[in-house]
Amino acid sequence: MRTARLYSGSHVGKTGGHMSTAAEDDYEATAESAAWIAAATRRFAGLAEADSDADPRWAETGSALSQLRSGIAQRISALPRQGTLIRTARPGIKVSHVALAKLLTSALAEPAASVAAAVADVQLTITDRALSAVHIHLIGIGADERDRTYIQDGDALRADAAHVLREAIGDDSSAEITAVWDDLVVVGP
Amino acid sequence: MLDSLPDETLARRAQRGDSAAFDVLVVRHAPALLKFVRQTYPESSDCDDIVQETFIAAWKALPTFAFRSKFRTWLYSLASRKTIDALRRRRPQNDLDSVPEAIDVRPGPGQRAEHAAFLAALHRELDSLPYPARAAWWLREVYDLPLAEIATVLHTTEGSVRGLLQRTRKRLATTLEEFRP
Repeated sequence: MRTARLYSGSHVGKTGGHMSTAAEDDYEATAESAAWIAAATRRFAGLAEADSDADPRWAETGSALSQLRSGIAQRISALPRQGTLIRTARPGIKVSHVALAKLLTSALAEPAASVAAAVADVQLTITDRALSAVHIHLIGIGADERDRTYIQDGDALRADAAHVLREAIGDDSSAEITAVWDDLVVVGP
Repeated sequence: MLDSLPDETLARRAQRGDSAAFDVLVVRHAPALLKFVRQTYPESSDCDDIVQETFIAAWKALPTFAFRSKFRTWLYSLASRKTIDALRRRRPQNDLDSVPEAIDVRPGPGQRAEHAAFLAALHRELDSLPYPARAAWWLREVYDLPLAEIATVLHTTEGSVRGLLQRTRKRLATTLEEFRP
C-alpha cells in the first residue's frame, strides 16, 4: 500500500505548466486541503486491490481472465491484419510485410538462440512499395560470459537477415539492416 | 520470452497481427483496467464487457497507433471512451453528471467497522462526481498518472484536468470536512 504523498511546492510546480503564481498557489492549497482524502482514497483502493488480488477470478489462471482472453482471441481471429505489399526482384511477385517480418523472426530465432539471444521484434520500413530498412530488436539471454561481443553477434545476425532477404525478395534489396540489443533477460537461479 | 518484452514491443508485434503478443498485453493490463473501470462505472456486472470491448477496440486501432503516448495510456483512453459510451447507453437522457449506484470497491473486513462511515461518505461523494472528474481523481490520486497522461486518457487538455482536480478537491474537502482527522 502506498503512503500519502506530500504536496510540496516543487511537486505541484511540476504539474503546474503555465499557471500564474496565484493560480498555482490556489492549486497547491486545494491539493493540500484534500491530501488526507487522497490518502484515504489510496488506502481504500489498496484494500479493494487486496480483495481483487484474492479474487481467483482475476488471478492469471482465473476463470474470468481466461474467459476474457478466449473471448478476445475469438473476436480478433475474425479481424486479420492487412499487410503492406513489398516488391520483390521478380516482376509481378509481391510479399506482405506481415509475412516477411514473420519469416525473418522465424529464420533468425535459431541463430539468435545459438548466441544466447532472442528476437524480440523485426520492424520493416517500406518506402514506395520497396523494403528500405529492417530493424532487428534483440534480447540477450543470461549474463554468462560470451564467446563474442554483442556487436559481433549482432553483425552475424544482420548477415543472416540479409541472406533471408535475398532468398525471399531477391538480390536487388538494398534495405539497410540494423540490429539493436534492447534488453538483457537474466533468469534466476 | 514474450512475457519479458515491454508493452511497446508487444504492441508493435500486435500491429502486424501477432495475437500471442496481444494476449500477453491482455494478461498484463486486464486486471488493472478492470479495476479502473469498476472505480468509475456503477454496475460491476457490465465491467468485464467494457474491458473486453476496450481490448477489441485496441486490436482494431493498433495499426494506426503511432506511439505518441505510452501504450498503457492509450489503453486507458480507450477504456475511458468505452465507459462513457456505456454510461450514455445506460442513461440516455442524462449528461453523465452523476452516477446513482455505489461503485464496487469494497474495504476488507478488518477495516470495515473502523472506517465505515467515512468510506460510505467517500463512496457517495466519488459516485456523485461527473465521469471526467471521477476518472481524473482516480488516475491522479491512486494511479499517480501525470496531468499530461490524464489529459490524453480523457481526451482533454492539461488545463482542464487541473481545473477538474481543483474543483474536485475543493468539493471533497468541504463535503468530507467532518471526517478530517
